[in-house]
Amino acid sequence: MRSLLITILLLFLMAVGQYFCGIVLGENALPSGVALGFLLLVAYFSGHWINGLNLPFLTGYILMGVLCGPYALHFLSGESVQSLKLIDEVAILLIAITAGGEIRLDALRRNGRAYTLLVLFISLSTFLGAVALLWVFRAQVLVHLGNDQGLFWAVALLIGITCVAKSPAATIAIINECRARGPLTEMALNVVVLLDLVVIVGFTVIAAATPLIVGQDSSFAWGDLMHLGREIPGALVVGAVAGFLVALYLNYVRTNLLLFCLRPDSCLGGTCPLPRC
Amino acid sequence: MKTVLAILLLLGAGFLAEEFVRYKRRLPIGFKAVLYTFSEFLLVGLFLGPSFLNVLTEEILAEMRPFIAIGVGWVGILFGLQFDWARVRRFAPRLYGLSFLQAFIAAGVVFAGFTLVSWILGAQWAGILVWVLPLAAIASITAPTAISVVFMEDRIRGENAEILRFVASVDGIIGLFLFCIAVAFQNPYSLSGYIILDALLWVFLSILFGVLLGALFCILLQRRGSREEILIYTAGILIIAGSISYSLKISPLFVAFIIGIILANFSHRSEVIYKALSPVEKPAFIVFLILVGALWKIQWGIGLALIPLFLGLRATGKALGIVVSRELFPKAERPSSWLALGLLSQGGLALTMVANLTILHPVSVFSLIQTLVIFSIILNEFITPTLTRLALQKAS
Repeated sequence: MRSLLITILLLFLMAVGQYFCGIVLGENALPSGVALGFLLLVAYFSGHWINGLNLPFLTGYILMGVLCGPYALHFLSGESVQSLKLIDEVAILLIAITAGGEIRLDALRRNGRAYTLLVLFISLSTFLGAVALLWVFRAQVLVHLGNDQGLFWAVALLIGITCVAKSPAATIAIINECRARGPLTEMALNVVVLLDLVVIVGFTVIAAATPLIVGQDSSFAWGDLMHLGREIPGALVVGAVAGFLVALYLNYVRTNLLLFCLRPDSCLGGTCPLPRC
Repeated sequence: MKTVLAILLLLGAGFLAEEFVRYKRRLPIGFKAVLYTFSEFLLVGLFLGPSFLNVLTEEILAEMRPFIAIGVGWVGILFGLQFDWARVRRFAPRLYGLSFLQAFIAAGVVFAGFTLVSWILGAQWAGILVWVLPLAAIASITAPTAISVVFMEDRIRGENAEILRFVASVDGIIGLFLFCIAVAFQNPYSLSGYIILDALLWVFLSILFGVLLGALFCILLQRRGSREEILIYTAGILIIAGSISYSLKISPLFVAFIIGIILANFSHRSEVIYKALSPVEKPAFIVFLILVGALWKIQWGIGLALIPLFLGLRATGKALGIVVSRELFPKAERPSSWLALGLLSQGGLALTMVANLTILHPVSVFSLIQTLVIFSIILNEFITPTLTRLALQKAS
């Protein structure tokens, strides 16, 4: 109850701030930094009262983001959201490190066949199911695409592959909130991360083939695939080197662990958006 | 992504530099004496910044200004947290009188001196007020850090030492209020159309925002939470205070100072903030110093020429301030005038004020203030230990 009252108080203060920003600064949204500070607190407390309704903390965070964003209460303008991309990038970095920290090579080797089959069947069934559904409703979809069949197939394939994507961030948040451990949790996280890899490759292939499908060009955009061919191995090499250096530091220096925030039992979904150190 | 890499580089530098600081404590006294207040990190920032290596480019620093505003606010909160009423009333009012009056006189002497110089050089009165008033405010502040280190090393005790430590810890309040007024005069947004009324209104709004955010922080702190939760509240309030101040062109340092005072006096759990912030305090301060150093644009010509004037006026002001304000004491208990020698050090709060000015209004005249203050801080690091020991020797 207290968390709900504080959430309401904070939303009220944001509304008052928005009103005064209109008078003093001539803007109809809060400055991005002010909105960020309030969002941090609002999201935190809304996670708590939402959790009281037996929903995950993450639901509260997302709900407040939608409510305060440019399409609802407009506390945050579209430009502010863009200017806060830095927070996005840092958050993705932390999530990726946390997700990577949960993946064990020995588990991948042990359960490789099971993971492969799972990833294959989940991605194929989701992809084909989404494309099939769009095909069933093709009449309605074609209306929005100018009755262009080529464009329809390009859009259907892209939507199909996008539907395969899962969210490692949400998965990690729920796992941490429930403090789940065990083979099922391990499998769920590994499969989610591997599915992202399938989506990256699949999306790039389909995007490269889109000009061909739509009929704008007669050739496949090999440049996109080559770009991907550089990015993924490059990222693997840089990540491996950086991870190795960090491991050396942790093994031999062992101070200021806060710098790396690597403890697996991070409290992402619970009390703090930062991994606990 | 470049900004993210710069942040990671700075965080890594901050944490690793903390190791250097620990190592520094084991150095012989001769080396340690020149490195009391971490000024070496200012120079690191200067070399990484646009003036030299340009690793921290102008674009990255522009994107980091809101974060620097948050760092400025953090210093303000920590300063304000010291002033809870129970602790404040333990000390005699005449000690506060001594501290405030000497700070005010020091500010007055610097203000008068630089106003005269500016007037001789043909500056307009409005322009003089914009740059001389903040400089005078910064000049009034003494850094207690260097004094405390000398006391610890030499195991100095006694009434004069305690008076010196007290004055250095407290005279920042006058500097902060003068600084708030100075920033209010610079505010580009007009509320009433009259300059002086606008400045007063902005000072009032700064206090009001500080009180409201302090009250909000007190409400949040009522909930008993873990260290991570306290960090979230602190981060949220600091981001709000820093951003509001940055948007409205008021001093985030002053707003956060008021927040700290409200917390110290109306929340029973203000001490948990210290505990929550302590693991990150030193690395964060080091990162802050590197960023302040990166923002430093040295004014070689006029800046270097005015440094002796600034140092001389400040020393004169402090000396005159002590001579006048010691009259508040009964004759038998008057502190020695020699204590003025121990009040010349400058450090964190002065630097934070310089950072505050630079991020709100990145114009060249504030680069001049940067140059004067930062050189003063670095030069004073060399002479503060000797002067402090001399002051106490002569005073006793």
